[in-house]
Amino acid sequence: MEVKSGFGVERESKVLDLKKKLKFEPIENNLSKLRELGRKLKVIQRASFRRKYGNLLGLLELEIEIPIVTTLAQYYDPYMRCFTFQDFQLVPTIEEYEQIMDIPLSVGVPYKHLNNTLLF
Amino acid sequence: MTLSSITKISQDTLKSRLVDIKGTKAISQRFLEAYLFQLSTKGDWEIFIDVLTLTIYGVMLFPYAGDYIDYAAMDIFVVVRTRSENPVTVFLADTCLALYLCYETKMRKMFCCVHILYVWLMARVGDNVLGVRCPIELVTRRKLERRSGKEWALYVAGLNQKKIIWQPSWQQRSKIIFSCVGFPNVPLIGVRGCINYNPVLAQRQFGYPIRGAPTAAALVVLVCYYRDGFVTKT
Repeated sequence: MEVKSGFGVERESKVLDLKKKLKFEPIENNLSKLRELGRKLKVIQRASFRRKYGNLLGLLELEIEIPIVTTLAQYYDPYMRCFTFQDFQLVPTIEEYEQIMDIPLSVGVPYKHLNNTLLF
Repeated sequence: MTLSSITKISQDTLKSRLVDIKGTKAISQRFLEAYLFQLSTKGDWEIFIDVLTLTIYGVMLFPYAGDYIDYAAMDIFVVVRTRSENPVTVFLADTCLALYLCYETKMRKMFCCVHILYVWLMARVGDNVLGVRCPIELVTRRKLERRSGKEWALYVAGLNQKKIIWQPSWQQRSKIIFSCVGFPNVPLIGVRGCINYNPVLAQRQFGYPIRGAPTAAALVVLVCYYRDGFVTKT
């Protein structure tokens, strides 16, 4: 048992060294005004917003801990395109993103970049 | 329908508001927020919802140009609004591409939406709340204790398979898109480029055992960018 726990500690310190490799900076915009504006919507309007564009308001309201994301990024394996942790891998998938955004995949066709959208 | 007919901002005003940011045309967050405020006092909620979405796309979901809504964000918004194309694959493509580029170019800026990535991870760790069907709601409901940046970093570094919720209650699909016709995996089209990803590695997240190692062909990296020079070291 002692040998095992010793091994665990060693592995942990190895993993913690890893994160010094690259420091990531997410783009952090000030969302407080947008949140304020979003709160002006009434319940029915919020529901129709969600049906039209997914759960953007829920995502907007959420306060996130940036260090969690920047540390997560340090475990990214760019060649496998997944996150590799001590003893498991996680891949962000279309199906999970579908659930998070609450936009069913069955609605519409996936975005195709045509670069000919008339904006103005 | 164009951006100006959706937002009811005249073409001339929109054009005069365009600024060059990182080599693309963009509109400032401030201008749209002021416009949103006007709309809310007038009670024009239909247009308000569209403009709010456009702003969220620009500054939260595709924040490449900082607090500006750049051409790519406007493009995807107009396409989703008018051609009802589905943006889900784009969010994922943007995440994968941004992370890939961080490593490939040693670029430190993560230009993807960190909010989605945050929910994605946090909805899989910690306590599973039964009956919650929405990952954002699950993450919002949990009150996180205050921890310093270093403590959070240690928390993520210390994650192991026992701390992961492999079958979260919000996960409703048991079948996943595994590969596309003609490809060994799934290519994704984003707003700034294309990248493929490997659902073969995600089988465990959907309750399947992984049968053997994936083939090399299934893991080949496919990446391309639409515009030269958008990858800059910062």
